[in-house]
Amino acid sequence: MKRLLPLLFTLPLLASCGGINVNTPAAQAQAAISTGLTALNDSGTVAIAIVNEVAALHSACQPAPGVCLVSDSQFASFSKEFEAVRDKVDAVVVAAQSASATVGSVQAAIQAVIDEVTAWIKSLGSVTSPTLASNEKSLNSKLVAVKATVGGK
Amino acid sequence: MASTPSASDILAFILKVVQAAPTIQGIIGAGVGIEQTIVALVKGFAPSSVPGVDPATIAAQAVQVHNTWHSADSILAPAPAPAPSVK
Repeated sequence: MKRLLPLLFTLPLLASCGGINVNTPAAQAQAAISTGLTALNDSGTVAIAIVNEVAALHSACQPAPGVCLVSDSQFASFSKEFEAVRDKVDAVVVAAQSASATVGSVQAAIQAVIDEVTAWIKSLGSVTSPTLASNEKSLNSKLVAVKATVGGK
Repeated sequence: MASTPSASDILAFILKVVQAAPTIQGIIGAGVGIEQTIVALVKGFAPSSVPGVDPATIAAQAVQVHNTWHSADSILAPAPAPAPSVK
């Protein structure tokens, strides 16, 4: 038993320092990815608010085409670009769920979302509204925050 | 952020070590290094007090992200029908 005494003191000390499990690179990566997914979900809420507003502007065109803010062709382009954004989001989901997920792989997938969102917003062209502008700004900042949340190099 | 196991966790761990003493003595007696012995003990440490992110949690979050971003699918414009081919 004398030979075990150092163990009795060393192991609880290691545990109390948080040196077990939570400080491993894999655990840190998982925690970062988890936080990133939460933030990406939050970004999705803003993105959907944009979709809903543009869809409403498009619907308003139907009875009075002369005052259209979002034409059929603009809405079709907007929809197509958003589908591309969703595909990139789905790629983040796949990357995050991968058994070999790393901070780098998830961050790269998030960057692809950010790039695609830029194209998506451009597809709206001259369509503007105060709410839309506010949501676009919010979405961009949230996505940048998502990437920063995941961290890494 | 690392968490600190509670006093009861540490006590339970110490009890586990004491209960495992004959085995540990056997391991050390068999020539296994002290480092490997510690690793073996740490692996047996109940992780209940250490908050982690298990794969199931990440999977659930991933599903939520997917559902949120797909929640407006029905209002998006359908893809235009392909132009008929001219022969």
